[in-house]
Amino acid sequence: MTCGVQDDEIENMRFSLNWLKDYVDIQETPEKLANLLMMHSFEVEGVNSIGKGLDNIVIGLVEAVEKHPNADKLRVCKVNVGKGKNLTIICGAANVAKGQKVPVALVGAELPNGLKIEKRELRGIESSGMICSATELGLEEKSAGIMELDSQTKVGQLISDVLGLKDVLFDVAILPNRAHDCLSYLGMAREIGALTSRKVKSPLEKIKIKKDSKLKTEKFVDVAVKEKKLCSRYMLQIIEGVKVASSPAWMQARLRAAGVKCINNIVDITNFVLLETGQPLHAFDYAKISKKKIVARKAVNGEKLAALDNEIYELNENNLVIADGEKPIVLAGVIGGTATAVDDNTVIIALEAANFDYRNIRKTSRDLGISTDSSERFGKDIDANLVEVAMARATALIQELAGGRVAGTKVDIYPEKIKPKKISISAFDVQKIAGVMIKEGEITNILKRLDLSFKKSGKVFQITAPTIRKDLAILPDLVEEIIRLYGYENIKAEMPKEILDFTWGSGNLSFDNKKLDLKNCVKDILTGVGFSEVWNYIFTNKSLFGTDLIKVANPMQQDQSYLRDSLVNNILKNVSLNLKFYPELRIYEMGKVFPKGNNEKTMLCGAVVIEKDSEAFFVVRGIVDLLGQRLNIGSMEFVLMQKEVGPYHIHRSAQIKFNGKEIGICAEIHPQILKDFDIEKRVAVFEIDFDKLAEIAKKEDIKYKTIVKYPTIELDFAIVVLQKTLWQEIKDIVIKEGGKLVKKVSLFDYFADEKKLGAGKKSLAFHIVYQSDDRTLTSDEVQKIQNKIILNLEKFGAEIRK
Amino acid sequence: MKIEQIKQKISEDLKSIKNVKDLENVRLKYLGRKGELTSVLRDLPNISQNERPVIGKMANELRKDLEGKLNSKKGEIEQAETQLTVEQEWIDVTMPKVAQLCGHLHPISKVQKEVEQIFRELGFMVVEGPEIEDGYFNFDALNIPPEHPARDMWDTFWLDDGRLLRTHTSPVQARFMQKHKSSLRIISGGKCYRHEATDASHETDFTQLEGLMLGEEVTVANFKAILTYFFKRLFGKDIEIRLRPSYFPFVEPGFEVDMTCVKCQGKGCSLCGKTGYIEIMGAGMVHPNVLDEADFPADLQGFAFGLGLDRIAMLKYGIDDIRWFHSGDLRFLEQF
Repeated sequence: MTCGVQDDEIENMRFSLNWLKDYVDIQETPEKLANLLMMHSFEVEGVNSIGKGLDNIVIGLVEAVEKHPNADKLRVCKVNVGKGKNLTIICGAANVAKGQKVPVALVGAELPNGLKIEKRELRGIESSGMICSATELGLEEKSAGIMELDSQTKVGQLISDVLGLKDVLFDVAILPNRAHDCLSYLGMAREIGALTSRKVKSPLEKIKIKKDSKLKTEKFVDVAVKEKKLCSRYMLQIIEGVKVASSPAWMQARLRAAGVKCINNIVDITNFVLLETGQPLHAFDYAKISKKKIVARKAVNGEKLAALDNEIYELNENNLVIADGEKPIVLAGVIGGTATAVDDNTVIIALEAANFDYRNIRKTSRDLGISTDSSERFGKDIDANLVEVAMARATALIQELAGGRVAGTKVDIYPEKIKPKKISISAFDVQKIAGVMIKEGEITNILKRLDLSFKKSGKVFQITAPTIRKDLAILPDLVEEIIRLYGYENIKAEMPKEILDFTWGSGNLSFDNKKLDLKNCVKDILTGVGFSEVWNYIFTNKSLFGTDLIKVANPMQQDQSYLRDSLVNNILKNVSLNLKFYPELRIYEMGKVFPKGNNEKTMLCGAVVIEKDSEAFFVVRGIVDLLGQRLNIGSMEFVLMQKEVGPYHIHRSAQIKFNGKEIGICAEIHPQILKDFDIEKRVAVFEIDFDKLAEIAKKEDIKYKTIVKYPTIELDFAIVVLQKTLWQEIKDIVIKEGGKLVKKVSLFDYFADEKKLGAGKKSLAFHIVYQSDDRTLTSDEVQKIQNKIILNLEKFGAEIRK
Repeated sequence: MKIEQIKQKISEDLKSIKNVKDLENVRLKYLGRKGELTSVLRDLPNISQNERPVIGKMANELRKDLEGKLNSKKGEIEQAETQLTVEQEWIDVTMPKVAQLCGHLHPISKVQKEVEQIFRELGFMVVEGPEIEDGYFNFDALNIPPEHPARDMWDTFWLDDGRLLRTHTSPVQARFMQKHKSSLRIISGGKCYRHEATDASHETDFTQLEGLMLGEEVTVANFKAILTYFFKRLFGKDIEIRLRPSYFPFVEPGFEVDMTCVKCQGKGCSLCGKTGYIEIMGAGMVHPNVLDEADFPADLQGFAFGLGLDRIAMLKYGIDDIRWFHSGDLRFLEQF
């Protein structure tokens, strides 16, 4: 996982080293080449050598086949393996026949499956080798018999050379900004050429086509582009009199290395040119085009296309199609239809090369769930000028491999021609961004390696970026080209001068990072009192508070369809899990919640389970008190819940308030909820709005007070009150009546005992500490206050225990 | 002579004292109200005037002597008794009888704190941003217009109301730049979300930390220096970094940062795929379109970077499965 880009979102392409070598001289070892690409261009995710162990397998001509005299199913073959050598080989395959060219494993060969070929006697006749099936060569999973090779292959040649089996495959992750040109062999070859300072041998430069000026494409077919925005260029070429057959071994080898299935010479050529240039092409069987019309238009809702993947797609008005006089025949740029497919009887080809809007292609591809080599390329916004060269290349190949007369004219609807961009750059521009001064000579050299033409005027390089390099549009794009070829390793690290300037920014910036410090502080306090921090997913299936939640449009799972409005739900899951392993626990989470209709907010939620679980609430309350003290908030109020709220136990829950404003809750979980979560002990939680806590947390502002030297007088009280009387009420009376001489009121005992106190009553015992700041109190003085307190407590209904 | 006899007896009685009770008995026997020595002293007025000074002196000396001896004896006995108590109070100190609950920070919190600390020392400010974003800040403001091919690089959780869960912390940059159009140095860490299948190295909820430094002369060379310092502080002084070309729409040039493999120190191992380096962050020079979109002063430029705090934590602690972070399992969390 990296910063921004996910591995699986980047288009990977498999490149065959043999094939790349058709376009650029490569002397580096595969590892060296991979490293060069890695440091200057693209990440190479795999380098795999294939075809090892095929050294002693050659092409043989079967000159005679006879039945084995001693075995019904075996045949004795005479095989010419070149250099005047004729071998006797026993073969068990039914399809072996005189005149075939076949792969022959010679004595000493070791097949990919580990089988070693030796001289062997089979029922009295010696066999000196083996005729192989495609499976035995590691080419197919299952074979019906021995492999029959193209009759044009030469006897004695190594099979690995003929089939391109000895190769190195590079798995290259093409970044999105180069997908428009480097998802192709020529693009990659240009990149390698730039890295190694070698010239690219492009097959596009010297294309020879014999045209028949009597044939005119526009006479064959009427072409119209109705959607000029979605189809910026449409080119069609008629080729008459082709012979559809298998493509030659060299092309099959190339396609096989690329993992493309061979079909026939015409289709193979379109695939080959796509991989070579990056421009998808499509060949129609002209005879099957209805009314001899081709229109690039939007589909009509409900129109259907029977596609080459044997699926039938229902189209809608968002899909661009290529239609004939009746119906869509291609889902433009995505997939062809069966109705106009080239087959063995095709004679006239209508060859299409076009450029489609990448947004529309991507949408169609996504909506219909079809991804093809073609849609992948068009979806990357390829250069419209590729159309011309790819068409020429494919036309030439068809003429060469399938024969035919090429129409002297072609249709080319291309209203807005894409022109090259000009960018100016100087060595200073490079230095300003990179922080390194690259000499002009070096820059010149790099531009030449990149095959970018330029004019120099003064210090400025005026560069013309070819249209195929859509990624080169502004100055920083060129800086990147120059410094990546120069090498990032050659840029010396240098601390910025600004680093010592702490006065940056406009006046309204505050550098104290107060909220962050507060987060860390709260976490430290909780860690100190035994809380461990958990992190939970923000997705949930329901609110424990019965409120509406924000819905996720595309959840990963149905039970994760909403965003949490509280941290309690997940923390109870954590409690349930951990109670399997721990008798007691203290956990907390600090994270965002997303109440519907409000801004997201940061919450702090803790849960406590203790052995003596009836006290759990008081532990949590104590923690909240502690937080209040440590954050200099002072005392917070705990206010009884007036009604049942969410998952809380109504009689064991309190709102936490500060200055009358609610900042959170402190509660035991309702027993029914505990059951739902499969928890057998009482759980107490607190959930605090951290943003509100941050507002009231004060900066530490301590002013020392001298220790009062006058003695304190401590008196103990025990009172009996109704069960539901709040301690807070008693305390308030004591403080109100006692006045400023009461320094402290603290509860030290509490019990309810029906026998001793009667039903519905409880006993509270507490100390009162009296002290004056400026004199020694007399006992008379204290007694007077004490009497006043007692009087008022009795008025309140308390019974003073003696 | 009576005093001599008493003295003799005292010396014998003192020898027989074994405990505080014996001691008290001896004291009472001689110095109590009816004690032998007390009676001698009390009888002094009845003695002839000739003998009185001599006997008086002897008796008083004997009393002082006895008091002194009793006191020191008392000290000895008490000390011995304390010692005896101590001997009897042996406990098994290897027993963990009163366990204090020990709290643990989440490993990503730990790492985040450390990372933030290092950048704060370099004068970076820590800022925050929302986790629910709109398409503008998550994409458009970052040079990723709708239907841009790069928009597919992020698998996004969309909300019913058209907003989204941020797929990276980069929107914080855009938000901050809109408010503060000046030289700046910020970092921002937090949770991000991606709609992707989870496995040992992919999570829907993950944590990223974004950095941004803009100024008049902030360069790639500066980026290298700051990030080298950062990684050395975080993983040790032997760590080096290297930059490789990469692509993120909001930067140009864009690069991938690799650092020396922490497991093999660059020798090559299974963790780093034998390369000696591991991918650790994406970065680059902020794209002019991003600066323009924020209406930022034209003379300022600089770098931005983003790193996965989950990944840092995994490397630092050798954690092999990212899903532990959201497991809520104390058996995992207690290790940090």
